[in-house]
Amino acid sequence: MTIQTIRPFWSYDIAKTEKWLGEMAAHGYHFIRLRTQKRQFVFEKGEPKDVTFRIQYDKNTELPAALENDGWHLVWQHRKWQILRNDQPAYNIRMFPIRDGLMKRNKVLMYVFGSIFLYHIFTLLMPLLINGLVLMTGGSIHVVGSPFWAITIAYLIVVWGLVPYSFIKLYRSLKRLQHSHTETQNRETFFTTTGRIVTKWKFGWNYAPDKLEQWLRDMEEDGYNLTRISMAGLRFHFQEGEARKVSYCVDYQNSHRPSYFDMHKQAGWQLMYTSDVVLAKWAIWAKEYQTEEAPPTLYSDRTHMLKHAKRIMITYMALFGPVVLMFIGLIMTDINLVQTDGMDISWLQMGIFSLLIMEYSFLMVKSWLYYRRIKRRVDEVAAS
Amino acid sequence: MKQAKLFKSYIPMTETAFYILISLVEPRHGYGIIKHVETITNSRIRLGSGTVYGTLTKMQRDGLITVYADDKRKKIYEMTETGRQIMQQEITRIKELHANAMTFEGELR
Repeated sequence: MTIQTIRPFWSYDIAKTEKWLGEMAAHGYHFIRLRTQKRQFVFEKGEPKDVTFRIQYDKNTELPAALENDGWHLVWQHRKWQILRNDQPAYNIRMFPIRDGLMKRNKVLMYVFGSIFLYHIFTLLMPLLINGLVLMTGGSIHVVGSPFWAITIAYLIVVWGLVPYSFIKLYRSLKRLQHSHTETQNRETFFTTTGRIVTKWKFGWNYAPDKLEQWLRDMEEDGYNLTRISMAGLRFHFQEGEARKVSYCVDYQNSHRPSYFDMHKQAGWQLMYTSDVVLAKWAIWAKEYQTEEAPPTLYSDRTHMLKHAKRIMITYMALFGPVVLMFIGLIMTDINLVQTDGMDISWLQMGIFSLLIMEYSFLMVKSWLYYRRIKRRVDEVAAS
Repeated sequence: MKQAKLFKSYIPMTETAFYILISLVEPRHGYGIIKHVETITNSRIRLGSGTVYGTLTKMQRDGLITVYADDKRKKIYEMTETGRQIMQQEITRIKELHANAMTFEGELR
């Protein structure tokens, strides 16, 4: 005998769905398949049993041998979705599938719903504002009926109900997953002295991260121990203390996967700062070393050192290149208009455009110079 | 066809990639790889964790390795069948290299 249950938003909160599948099995209903289109779970009646379920989303469908040995087996699979089951008692399970693929999927979905919602908020606010102004100045508003009220209402339900619901649901479950996913680790205090606090501002370090690394290293050697970084990575707090040998690495990634932080922390690096904004996934890592040792670095091979520097350079080229081109285009159009139509030239506008071109070009050159410095350094190491 | 392209992109392997993949003949976590490589190369190679992270990410994407977590939520990496096949081919290549190195070493002097 089988029973079917529809669970429309099962993929939003995976941990909850997994738990639910386990509870169903405890009542004797064992999951056999999922009809993805209908979001319908199919169960078979059997003996009540305590089992654990895990839902995976990954293009790589080969189950690691260690998971198989630990009792995991595949119950159902469709495209990237996999539902795994383990019949062992929960306290006996030592190995678990990971959720990286799933978290990535839900994050993308969350951003999509979030941007649709933001767009609608703005497009709603604008007419409201205009109408408000019209009413205040004594005007009147005439409401035009919609020819298909059903469509209008359905649209409103989707945009103001489903979209924000999805966004909030995904946001909450992702927060929970992230919290339970990162390895638990005690943060030991990095500094022990109780000296005077000195703060310094540092702007634009992301265009020349190697210089920031050098500066922080020099500060440590002079007895200024970095304690924290605040104000979106611009304000550096130091404590006067003993001179130390500390290696700093400023790292840029396109995305921060959960294993990123675990990997570096395991290897003895301390996270001093991180920003998780799109196109600004920076992390500043620190590691103390002995005088006779070579300073430790995040990247030990040529390929990855260059790859990292190139990633930074390309990001800023792609970001600022089009902006510079746009302003050059605007200036050229203006000059063209002055020459052909006899339009008056706006020196203020020209000045602002030129300044912006210079600023963004300067930043591009800076990040290119950074790449060149790293390339030279890597080549020198290779030659020696 | 796709498989052939994948093999081509990994062979010959960089020394770093070789040592990271060969460490995974048995499952290890990230720091375990660094320690293991340090041991088997008598501290000649000290892998940076960024290098290991970058290499593992790429290998996982290409299906050479898979990942799971232990009960302390620590990530553990394991070689897949594809990974084994690529390693086997690379070892065959290195064996040839080694044989030729031994053959012609004498003629250098």
